[in-house]
Amino acid sequence: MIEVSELTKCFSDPKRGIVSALNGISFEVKPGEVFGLLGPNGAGKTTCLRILSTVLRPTSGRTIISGYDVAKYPAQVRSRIGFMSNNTGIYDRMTAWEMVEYFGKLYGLAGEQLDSRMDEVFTMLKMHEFRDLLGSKMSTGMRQKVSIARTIVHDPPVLIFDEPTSGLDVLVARNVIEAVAKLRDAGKSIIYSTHIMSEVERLCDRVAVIHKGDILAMGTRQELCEQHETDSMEDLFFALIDRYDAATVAS
Amino acid sequence: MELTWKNVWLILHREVRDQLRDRRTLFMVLILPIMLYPGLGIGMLQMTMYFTEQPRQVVILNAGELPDPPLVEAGAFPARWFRSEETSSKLSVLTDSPDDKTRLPNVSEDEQKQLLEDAARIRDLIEQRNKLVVQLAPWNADLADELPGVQSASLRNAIQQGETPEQPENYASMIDEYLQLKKTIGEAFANSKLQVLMIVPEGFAENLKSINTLLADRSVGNDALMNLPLLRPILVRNRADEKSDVAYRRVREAIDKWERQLLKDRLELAQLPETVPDPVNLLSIDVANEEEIAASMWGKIFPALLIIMALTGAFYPAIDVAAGEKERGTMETLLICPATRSEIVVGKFLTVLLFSMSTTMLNLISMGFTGQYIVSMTAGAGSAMSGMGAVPLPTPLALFWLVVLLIPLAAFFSALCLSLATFARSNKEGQYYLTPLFMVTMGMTMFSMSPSIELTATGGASLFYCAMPIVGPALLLKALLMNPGNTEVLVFALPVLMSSIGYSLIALWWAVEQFKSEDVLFREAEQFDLKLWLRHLLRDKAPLPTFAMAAGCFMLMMFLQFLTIKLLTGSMIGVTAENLGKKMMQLTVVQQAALIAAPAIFMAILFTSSARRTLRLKMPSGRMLAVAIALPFVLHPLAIELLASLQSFFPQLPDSAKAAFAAMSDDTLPLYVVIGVFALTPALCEEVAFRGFILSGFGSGGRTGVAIVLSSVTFGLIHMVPQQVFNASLLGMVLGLIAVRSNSLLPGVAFHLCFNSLAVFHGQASASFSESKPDWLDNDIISWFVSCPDDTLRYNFLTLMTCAGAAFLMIRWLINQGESRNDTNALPRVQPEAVALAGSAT
Repeated sequence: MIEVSELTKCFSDPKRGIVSALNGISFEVKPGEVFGLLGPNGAGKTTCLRILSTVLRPTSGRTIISGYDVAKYPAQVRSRIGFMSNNTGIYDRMTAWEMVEYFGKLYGLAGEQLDSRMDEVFTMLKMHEFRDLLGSKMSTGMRQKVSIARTIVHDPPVLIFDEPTSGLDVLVARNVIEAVAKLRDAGKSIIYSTHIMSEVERLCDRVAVIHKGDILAMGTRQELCEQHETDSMEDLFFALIDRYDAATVAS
Repeated sequence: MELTWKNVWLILHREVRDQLRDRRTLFMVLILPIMLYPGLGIGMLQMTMYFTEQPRQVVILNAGELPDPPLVEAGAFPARWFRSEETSSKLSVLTDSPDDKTRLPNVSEDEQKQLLEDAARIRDLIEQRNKLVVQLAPWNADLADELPGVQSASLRNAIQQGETPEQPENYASMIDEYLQLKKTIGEAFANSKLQVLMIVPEGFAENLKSINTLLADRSVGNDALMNLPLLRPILVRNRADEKSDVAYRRVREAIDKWERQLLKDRLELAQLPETVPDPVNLLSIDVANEEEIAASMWGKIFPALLIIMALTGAFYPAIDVAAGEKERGTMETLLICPATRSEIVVGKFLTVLLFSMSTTMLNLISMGFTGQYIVSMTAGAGSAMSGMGAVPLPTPLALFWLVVLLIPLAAFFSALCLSLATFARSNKEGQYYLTPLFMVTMGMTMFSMSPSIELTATGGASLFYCAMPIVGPALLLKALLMNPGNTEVLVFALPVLMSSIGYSLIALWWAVEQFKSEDVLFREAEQFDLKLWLRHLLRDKAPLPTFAMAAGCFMLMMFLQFLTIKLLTGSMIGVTAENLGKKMMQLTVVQQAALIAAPAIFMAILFTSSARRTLRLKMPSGRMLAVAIALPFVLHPLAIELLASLQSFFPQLPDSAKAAFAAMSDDTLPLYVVIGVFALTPALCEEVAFRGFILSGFGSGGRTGVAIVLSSVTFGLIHMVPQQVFNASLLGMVLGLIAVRSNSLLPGVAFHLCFNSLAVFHGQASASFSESKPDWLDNDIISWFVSCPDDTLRYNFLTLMTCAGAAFLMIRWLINQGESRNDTNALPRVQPEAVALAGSAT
């Protein structure tokens, strides 16, 4: 369960002065749902997800994950989420098994519980054949699987994916999407950011279109298409962004 | 800071395994020390075996005039004129006597002829020069020294007494001529292939013989001896040229020994005992045994080696575990796992510490064994290395201390390197921080290696040195290696360990802070643009300065102080004793206004949008002001007594500080002037700077406690003199607390003014009491409160108890004025501007 209300975040940037990356966005994600965050680069997706994962502090607003306020109980939140992005790396000098085991232990798993959970994850992601391969020797697909395994080893109720498929070839991306779908079916609350329309269409139950720190539209795919009288996600997306930019120029 | 040791252990375990799988680290930590020293050793052995030195060339003019026994035989100085026979082969001698058939090695016949021609030319120049020297000597002590003994001494005396004869008209032109000649000779010598030139005067041997005969025949009076001309051979060299210098020293050795032989012959002829020229005939005995010589050598070498190795051993792993993690993109993964920031930092710190210590130990062991092996191989071979065979390894007790003291040193470097590496965005940026760190460390190491700096049980500054990072452990190690059984210096072990642990904790705290700062964790590697940055500074102003601005302001003050030291001391030169106090006061005012207040005020106006808020220009509450005025009266006696009891802890006051204190208690000046200079000026200037700009900047992240401590430490440091640094740092805490709680500058100014005025009154009272002690001081009841031993007014038990009680109450009241703080430290800190913007938006 994720509840975000009126979330803002400001940065200071030497070139542009003080920049507002999020202008008070609100949304919620229920268990068994994939919530898509759709937006171009620099829309504020990563900032939003980093706040959810407690590595950035919000400037204002409230974020509640599994009943815990992110700003007040970050430690509680950390043990209840799994976070993965295209640039969360894996350690070069650790094998797949060691890496997942390490994070499992950091998340408080131990003994038989850890062993059986790891076996489960490795089987689910078909990782047994490269469990003793060092990170530096892995292919991109293997690395991505290790990342997913690391994200879900402690079986968190909330999962955050920040453009997990960017820069991956089609086959690997497909593996990732299948894994996310499985997790949704297992009843997780999943937030999934991307700028790829097809992923949204395949995966997301509800979508928020985010641009320059604002949510422009939110709802199920069907709702959005009906509201804006179009049947393509892509048309909808560009129409929303053009209208927003035109409005800012006018004001 | 709560730590789950299981997580720390997990992280430590992972990092160590990771490092051990890294070929570069393994190479640096294990392979290099094991291979390097034996490799170097073999290299050195080969060098000594195959390297033979080229013989240096000596030219002797008028060699035929040299008396017997012969100084030169067959183109060389005979081996008997040297302590070590080989030296003879390192010099080849060319003379101008026609029957000399010597050929210099590797020199053609033409070149050899050229050498002699050059030598003859230089001889002519030198003769001219020497004539000038005789003429100029009465006015020039350095030149007078060149004349023979008695004459030189009397001239020098006359010059010192100012009894020189009148200078001739052409004195200046003669000096010019002399300087010109000196230059010409230097150039001629450098351009020739000469390394050492010896010029024997005409009739030298004959002259020597006549003196000998006259001496032997004691029936002749002194006059005949005195009337003989004094003929002196001349030895020319170029000290700036190392080859020439080495050759010169060898020639000197031969000539000295030869001269000794001539003297012996002369005495024999005169039937005098050989000891005549040595009326004192000193015998000096060196009682140092081999262990001691070794200990003193180890005491000099090991601390320096240990420091450098501990630093480099910590640096590379630190870069890898912190900056490397950022670069590989695994940092974010680690930050979202439930391990706290402190656990991550401690885990990584222990990894670095482990590697720093292992590298150092391995280096020392490998070096020791290689050294031993090579020494045992070359011992008795008669080579230069055999001298080292006499140096035994340090005793086991000394080695034990080496290992014990390695712990605080390595801990300090590990924590420091980890902090720097966390700050760095990438491995490459991390590497850049090594050079400055290394330079500062080397400076401190050199300082502790100087023989006059040592820990002694009675030495005043010893505890002070113990409190310095690097220097403390280095000095303790030096003392223990020099004399391992010396239990006296062990009293310093605790302070050294405590201070090292303290510094390590500060560095670790800094690392943890960095892990909490989103600025540091998510800094993009963007291009630095000076213009943009300046524009950002001036355009995007926040009401309060940032942490970096406060630090920058302090740096600027220190830098300005450094720049003006020469100017200030220069203006003190030539000031008469009675004006010294006055001059000092003027300088104090200028320094306070220009170097302390001005930077803070300018920075507040330029870089903040609200100079008023930054400098706390606001009326305080009446109660706050009352407490700020009352506090100095109870703190002054406590400060005086604290400093007095810690006097032995600090080094002696420098003369300039003593002069300043003397000026403070100078009662010839009107009181308002003294108060104005020593109380009002600092109260205004230092408060504006330290409780205004710097405290606001340090506190802008919301961490008031840290801000107060940092502002008081910087306030202390600007005072330079250790006693005052200590005193001012403590007072700075109180001043910072007052400023934060009242949010106004005025109470601080009032406190500062009162406190310094009390110091002035105290100084003046002490001065007047030391002249004539008033009777009331002898009263029994009064003496419970104050007394005046040793020319200073001292506060006694009852005063101190009362003051301590009152101070405690007032400071507690101040502390309680603050509102309760919230504890959400586990989240990253936000940039202050962003908070300010959000605040102004809502």
